[in-house]
Amino acid sequence: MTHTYIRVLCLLLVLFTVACQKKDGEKSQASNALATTLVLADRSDVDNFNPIISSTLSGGNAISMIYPGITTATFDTATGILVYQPAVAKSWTISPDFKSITYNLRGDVKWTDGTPLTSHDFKFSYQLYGDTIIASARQDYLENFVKLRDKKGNPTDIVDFDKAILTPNDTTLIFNFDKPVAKHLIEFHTSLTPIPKHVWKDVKPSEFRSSELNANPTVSCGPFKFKEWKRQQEFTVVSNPDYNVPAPGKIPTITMRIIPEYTTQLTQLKTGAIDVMDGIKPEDAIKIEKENPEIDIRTVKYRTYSYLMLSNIDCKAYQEGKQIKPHPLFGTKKTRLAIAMAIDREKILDGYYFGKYAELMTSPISPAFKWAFNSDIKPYPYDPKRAKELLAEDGWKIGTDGILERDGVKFSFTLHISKGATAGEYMAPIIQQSLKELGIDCKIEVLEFNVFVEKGRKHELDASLNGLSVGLEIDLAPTFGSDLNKAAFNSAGYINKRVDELNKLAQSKLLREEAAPYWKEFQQIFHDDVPFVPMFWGSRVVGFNKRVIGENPDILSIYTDLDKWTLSTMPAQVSVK
Amino acid sequence: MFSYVLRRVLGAIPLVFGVLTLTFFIIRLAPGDPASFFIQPGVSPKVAEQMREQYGLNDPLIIQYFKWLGNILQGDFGRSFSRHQPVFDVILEAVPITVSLALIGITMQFIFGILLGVISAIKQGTKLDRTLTVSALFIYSMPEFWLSLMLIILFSLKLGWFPASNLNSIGADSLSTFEFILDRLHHLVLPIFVLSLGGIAGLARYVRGQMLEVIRQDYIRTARAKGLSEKIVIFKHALRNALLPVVTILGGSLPALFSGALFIEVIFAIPGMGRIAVEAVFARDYPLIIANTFISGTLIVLGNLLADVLYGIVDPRIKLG
Repeated sequence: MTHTYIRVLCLLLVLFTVACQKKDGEKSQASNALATTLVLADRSDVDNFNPIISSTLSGGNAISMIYPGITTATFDTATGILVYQPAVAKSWTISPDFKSITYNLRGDVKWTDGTPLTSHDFKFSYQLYGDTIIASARQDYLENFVKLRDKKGNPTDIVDFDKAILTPNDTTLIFNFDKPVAKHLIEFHTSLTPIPKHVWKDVKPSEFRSSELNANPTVSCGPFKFKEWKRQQEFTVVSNPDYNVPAPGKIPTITMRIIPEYTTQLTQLKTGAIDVMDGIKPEDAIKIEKENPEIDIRTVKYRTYSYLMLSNIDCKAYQEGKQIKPHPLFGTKKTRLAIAMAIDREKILDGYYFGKYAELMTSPISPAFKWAFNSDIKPYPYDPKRAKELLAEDGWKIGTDGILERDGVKFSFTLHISKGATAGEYMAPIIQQSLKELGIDCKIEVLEFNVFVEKGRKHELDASLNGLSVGLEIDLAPTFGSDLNKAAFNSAGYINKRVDELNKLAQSKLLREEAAPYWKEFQQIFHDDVPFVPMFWGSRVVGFNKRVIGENPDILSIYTDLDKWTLSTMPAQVSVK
Repeated sequence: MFSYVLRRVLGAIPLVFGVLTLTFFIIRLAPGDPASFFIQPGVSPKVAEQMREQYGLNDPLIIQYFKWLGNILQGDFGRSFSRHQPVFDVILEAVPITVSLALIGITMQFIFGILLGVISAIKQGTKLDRTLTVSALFIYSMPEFWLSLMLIILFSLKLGWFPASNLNSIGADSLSTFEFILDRLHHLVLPIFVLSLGGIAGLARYVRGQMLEVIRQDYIRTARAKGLSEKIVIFKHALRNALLPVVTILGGSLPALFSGALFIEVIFAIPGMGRIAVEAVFARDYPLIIANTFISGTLIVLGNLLADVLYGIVDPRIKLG
C-alpha cells in the first residue's frame, strides 16, 4: 500500500516538476507569440462585440479595435474640446441653420469580407440604435433627430428615419434634426459606430440581443479584426491588413485577458505577463515607480470625481410619499458648508493619493473642459473653527452627551461606503474623526455595491461616499436635475430650478463660447449651495510595460491610438504594412 | 440497492425544487434587479425600463413565479440576462473546468490527507506528529483568499515559478498537445494547491483520529500477536477499517470543493462555475443564479447519496433500503 502511494506521489511530483521546468523548453514557440502579442488585462469580460447593444467599458474598448468611426475624435487638451478628424467620412458640412449635417464618405472602405462600407450601413445601424426593442444604451444620441408627427403635426418620440437620415448614394450620408443643434453636439451624436447591414439585415429586433453574431463578429472593419473570444478568459484580435482608415494596426496580435482579482492582475503586470493594467491604486503606483523600472506609470486626470453625498432632502419623507422636505441634518447649506470646511482634504490627498494621484475638486465640471471650467472658484478651505461657527449659526448646540442637537434632533447619522471602494474606506474614518471634533456622531457602514447603488438611487441613504465619471459632453440633468425620478445620479436630492434652466440654456447654444457663461454660473451656484461636498478629481493610474511603444492614454481612453502602438520585442519584419 | 437509489433520487426532486423556489424569492428580495446594470453614466436612462419590460420584471411577483414554474417544468431554465445565452450553455462552458479542478483537488486531498494522517497516527506523540498536527491546524484555519494571494506573491512574483492566473500561456494554442497539457498543469499548480490544502489538513486530522482508535482494537493486538509485520498490521488491518468513515467524507467533499472553487476561480482568473456564480449574483442575473443553485443543490444531494451508497458497499454491516 505504501509503495502504491509513494509511486503515485512520485508520478505527480515528476509531472509537476516537468510542468514547471517546461517553461524554458516551450520558450521558442510561446515566447515568439508573446513577442508579437500585446497582452492587455481587464477585471471584467466584454458583454458583447456589438456597438449597438454593448454597455460596458470593456465592450467599448473591444469594439473600438474592430469597428470604424465615421470620424475620429481627439481631445484638445489646450482648449478642452473634442475635435473630430476624418475617418470613414473624408469631409462633412453643417447647414447654416444647424439643422443638418452632410457627410461625404470614402468609397474605398470595406468590411473584412470585402463588401464596401456605405452610407446604407450607417442608416441601418442608426435604425437599430433607435429601436426600443433592441434598447440600445446610446438611443439618446437620436434625441434631436427628425421625429414622426402626430395627427396635430406635433413631433412624437419616434424618429422618422425616412426624413432624419438620407442616403442619396453610397457615399453621402445626411442627418436632419428637428431644431438647430450645437455644432459639437451634431458631431458627437452622429459619431455612432456602424455594423454591416448585409450581415445583420435578417436578424429580428427581438432576437438581436441573443444573436450569435454578438459573440462572433467575423465581419468587421477596424484596424484589427476579431479572432476569438473565450468567455471569461480572453479575447484576441489580430491586425487587419486590409484596413485603410488610415492603416492596419501595427501590433500583429492583441489579447485581452480577464483577471478579476486586483492583486493577481498587479502581479501579472510586475512579472511581465500582461503589458497594461488600468486602475492601479496610488499606494501600488508609488511602489512601482520606485521598484519596477520596467513599468511606466501614466495618469489620466479629470474624468472621475469623488464626493461626500449629504442628502438635501428628508429620506424618510421621500420614501413615504415622495415628499420633498429639507433633511433634518443636512437640509441647509450652512450645515453642509460646515461639514465641507471640517474635513481636512489635504490630509487625505497626501495620505491616500500621495499628493500626486488626485486634485482637490471645486465643482463637478471637469477642469479638463477648460472652455467651461470656472477657475475663479477655489476649494473650500479646511477651517474647523469656522465650521463650528456655521453650525452654531444654523442652530446646532452641544448636548449633554457632547453631541450636537437642534430642536431635540441629535446630529447623528450613518455614512455609507461601497464594499471594495478603497478610497472610500480610507476617507470614511478621517471624515468620522473630523466630524467628531465638531460634535457630530458619524457611524460608518459598508454596503455591497449593488445595494449601495440601489439605496442611493432611491434616496434611502442620508450620507455616502460616492464616485462618478463625467461624460465627454457636459450634461447636468442626470446628476443635478430637479426631477428626481429622471435624475438617476442626483442621490443628494438637490433641487434648483435655476440649475435646470442653465443646463437647458447652455445646451441650446450653438457655439461653445456662448454656452460657457451658463456652465460657469452653475459652478458658482454649486459652490454656494454645496449640494454635496466635492472631494477629489482622482487620476486614472495606468501601468505600461516599457516594451509598449506609442501609448497615449488620455481622457477619451487609455487605448487611444492603439492602432499605432508597437512593441519593442517585435521583430522588424513582423511590422504590418 | 437500485430501488434504494431510485427512492432517494425521487425523494430529492421535491427537495431541489423547494430550494429553487426559495432561491427564486430570496434573490428578488435583494436590492437592485438585472436592469439596474443599465443605470450608469453614459447609458440612456430609458434602457433600464425597456430591459425590465423585456425581462418580464414589471409583472407581479406571483405571475413571474408561475411563468418561471411553467418553464422549469418543461426543462427550460431560461436565458442569462447578463450574457444573453441559454443558462445551461453558460454553465456547460464552465462545468468541465470546475469539475477537473474539483477532481484533481479531491484526489490530492485523499492521497495526501490519508498519507499524512497515517504517518501522524503511527508516529503518535513524536515531534513529527506534533509538527504535522500544528501545521494541519494552522493550514486548516487559514482563509483560502488570503493564502491564495500570499502564494501568488511568493511563487509568481518573488520566485517566478508559477503563473498567477488564467489557464494557459499566451500562444499556448501553437504548442503540441503534450506541451499544452503541461502548460495547463503549470497554471493549475497554485489553484489546486490552495483548493486541496485545507482538505488535506482536515482529512489528515480525521484519518489520524480514526487510525488511533482502530489501532487500540483487540483484532489489531491479535494481528500483532500472530507475528504479522507492522506494515501489514497498519496498512492491511488498521487502515482498511479506519478508512470506512473516511469514505463518507468523499460524498460530502464534492459540493464543498465546488464552493471552494468559487474564491479560487476569482483569484486565479479561472472561468469556472464559481466565477459564474459570483458574477451572476453581482449582476442579479436571476436565471443564472437559479441554474447555479440547481447544479449545486443536485451535487449536494448526489454527494450525500454517494456517501450513503459507498458506506453500504464498504461496510457489510450497513444495509441500505
